Amino acid sequence: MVVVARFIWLVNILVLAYFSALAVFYLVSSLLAFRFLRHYTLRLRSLDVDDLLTSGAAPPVSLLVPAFNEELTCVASVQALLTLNYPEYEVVVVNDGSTDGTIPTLIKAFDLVRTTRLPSADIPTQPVRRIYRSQRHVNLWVVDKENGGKSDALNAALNHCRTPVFCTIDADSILESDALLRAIRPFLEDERVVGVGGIVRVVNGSVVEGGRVREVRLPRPWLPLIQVVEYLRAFLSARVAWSELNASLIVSGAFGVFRRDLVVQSGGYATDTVGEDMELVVRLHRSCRSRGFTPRVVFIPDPVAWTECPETVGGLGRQRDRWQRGLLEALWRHRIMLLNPRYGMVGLLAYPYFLFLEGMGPVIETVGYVAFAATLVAGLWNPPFVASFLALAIVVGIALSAAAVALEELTLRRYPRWGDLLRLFAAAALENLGYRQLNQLWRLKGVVSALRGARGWGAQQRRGFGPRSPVL
Amino acid sequence: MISSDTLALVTSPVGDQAFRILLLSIGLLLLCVFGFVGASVLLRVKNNRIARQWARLEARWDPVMLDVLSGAAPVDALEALVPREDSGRFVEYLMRYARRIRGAERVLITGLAGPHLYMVSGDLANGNVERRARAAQMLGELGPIRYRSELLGALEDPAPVVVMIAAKALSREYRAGDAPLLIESMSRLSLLTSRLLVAMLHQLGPQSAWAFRQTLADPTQPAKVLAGFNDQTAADIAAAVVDQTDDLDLRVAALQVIERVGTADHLPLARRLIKDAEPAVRGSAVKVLGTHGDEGDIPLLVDALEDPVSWVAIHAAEGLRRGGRAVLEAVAEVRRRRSSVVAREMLFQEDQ
Repeated sequence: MVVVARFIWLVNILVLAYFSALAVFYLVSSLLAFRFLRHYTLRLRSLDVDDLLTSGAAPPVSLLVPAFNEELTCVASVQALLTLNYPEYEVVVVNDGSTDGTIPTLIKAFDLVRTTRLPSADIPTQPVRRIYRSQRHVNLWVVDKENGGKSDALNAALNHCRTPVFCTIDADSILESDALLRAIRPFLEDERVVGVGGIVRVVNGSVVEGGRVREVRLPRPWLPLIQVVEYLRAFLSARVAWSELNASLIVSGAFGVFRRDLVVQSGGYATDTVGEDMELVVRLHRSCRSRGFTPRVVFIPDPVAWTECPETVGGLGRQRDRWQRGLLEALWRHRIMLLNPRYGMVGLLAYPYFLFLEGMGPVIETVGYVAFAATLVAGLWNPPFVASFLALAIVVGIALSAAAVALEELTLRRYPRWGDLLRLFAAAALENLGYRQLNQLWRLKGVVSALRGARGWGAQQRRGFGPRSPVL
Repeated sequence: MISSDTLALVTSPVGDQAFRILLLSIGLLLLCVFGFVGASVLLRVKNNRIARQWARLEARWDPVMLDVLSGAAPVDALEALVPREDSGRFVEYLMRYARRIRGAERVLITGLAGPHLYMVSGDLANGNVERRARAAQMLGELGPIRYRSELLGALEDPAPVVVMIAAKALSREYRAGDAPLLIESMSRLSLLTSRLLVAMLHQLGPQSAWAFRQTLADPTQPAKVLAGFNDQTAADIAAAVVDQTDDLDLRVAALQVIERVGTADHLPLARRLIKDAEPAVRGSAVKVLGTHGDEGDIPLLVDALEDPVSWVAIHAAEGLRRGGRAVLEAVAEVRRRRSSVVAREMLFQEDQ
């Protein structure tokens, strides 16, 4: 009996150590993020992005937009992309074998006609059926191809990309008009920059007209509201900190800008993973460093892409399952980087963090819950200790989310009402009572799916970006 | 249920200690939570107050500013509305206009800013990089002539961002004597991309040719910057560089210079390099032929349409497009050839 008790005790201590490591990392990352964001907001005032428009320094950019069954959203999204504030850019939409009316809708809306376009690269993809170009917008191209998944669509777009820099954006996302101009700046300021990520924000609840976010509002339902806080925490805290350490392993597929030549040289997007965005960044780190070049993958908080987050428990569960699978697949594929000093901070810090704290986190937390229950049943801990332990877990979560909300207030302040601030803090607290545990369950499912080698994205539902008013 | 002996074995004294640590951690974290909430509320209050102050100032200044810019009111009318304590905000206010207007109205703006810039110039010595950068930006926009010596001093700043802002401001208000200092400062901006440097060089204008030629002759400088300078003499130097170096970037950059400012004298070089083993060199040579070539170069460009590297074919098609539709139409006729695809693409663009 003593052995069992010791074992349960040991497991509890290990889980506590895991929680402590996670909490320390997040608190340190929040501090790093605070330092960076404070400097960055001041710096934004001295470097006007409009200078780039007039200086002729901004390189031409291609916006690569993979689309699968986006009949509802594609017109508004593309219209918004065509009105970006950027001197020279092309929009390359890739219809990935949609089974709905995506292509006819695009043809009608933008007056597309068939044409030819010689590929500039030859990354293998599913066959391209036709290429269209708009008669009204000379910078709009549509590549119609057989279905092959998001990565395959991006590779087809890369094959037809002729600019030194490209930007990926989901067909259901909305770029702010100066987002591209802001995102391109790190490329001009530092030759070592190979990729730049901007912030992805939740559009649910906001007023969207003509493919533009006219009024920013928080979503009314709690599920998307909690995701707003999650996104703030992920982008304004974690990604800023990793960027500061030059150890970013993720640039969101919903909005990322990359150097075309390096991505093409490294073979484009991997088609056998659902985490193609993270896999690409890890591969770029690996391939660049193997050539003796230390790349910089940068996150900056001012270029904004708005995206629709799942509003149903089922949709959210599938998304988190997919994200967890993608994370583990990318890490497994590049396991040689683990604790490898050749890859600097990426190998020594970022990789172990993502593997042990993010990748295996759901497993450790679940073991923790089981051990905790066993401890209670066995009567190893007295009630005050149990209550304190639970309270600690909850307060850690609240502190991290509250820090993210404070960082938002420090930088961009997109939610101007007092009510918004109150609701964000309320969501930061409520997130820890049920939502977080549910999230762990979905992520655990993702771990199991990854171990079983599951493929596919799962069904996704889109509401579309038509005129939408918030529920009052 | 576990016996009390077993319980004691696994919990004490470690359990007591852990409990104390737990309580302490909870207390500290709760303090953090309240700190974050409090900081957010204070920030919100502060930002709202600043927004109200700005609204008040804008309501006071905007109508008079429009009158001053249109000549309906004298400059003094606006000056009278700026008390000493609002000097800093007034400079910020003028910055919004300075970045968007040119000509006589801009002179008005810089004139209005003049008496208030003394507050900003002191910030060039501030310990905070962002404050220095902001000061350089304001002086560069609103007082580049009056504060020229301060901006030249900022070229020596330890922070590249301050150097870049000062250099950009000085290159906008270029004086021939500044060229050596400016070009020297660019070597300190080694991380800046060639595009940004080229944009700055363009602002320097042709007067700085001699300084730039020195850069051209020095392969240690960022190679692609060479392509940014539209100076006829530079093309001759570039032609020599192509044959003298094995550095691929430098050869390509030199060919880009020739493409921009070369003449028919440089065509033999391009004709020779169109068969080079390096695709980047072939592509650049094709661009030179497409820009400066004559009718005799059309067969070479048509052959280049079948180059295994798409970029070379695309550049060749663009070159042929400049020469009119006839050749592209003939190539497009022969379907199922690689060249037909790119020829039809160019014809489509031509039609648009």
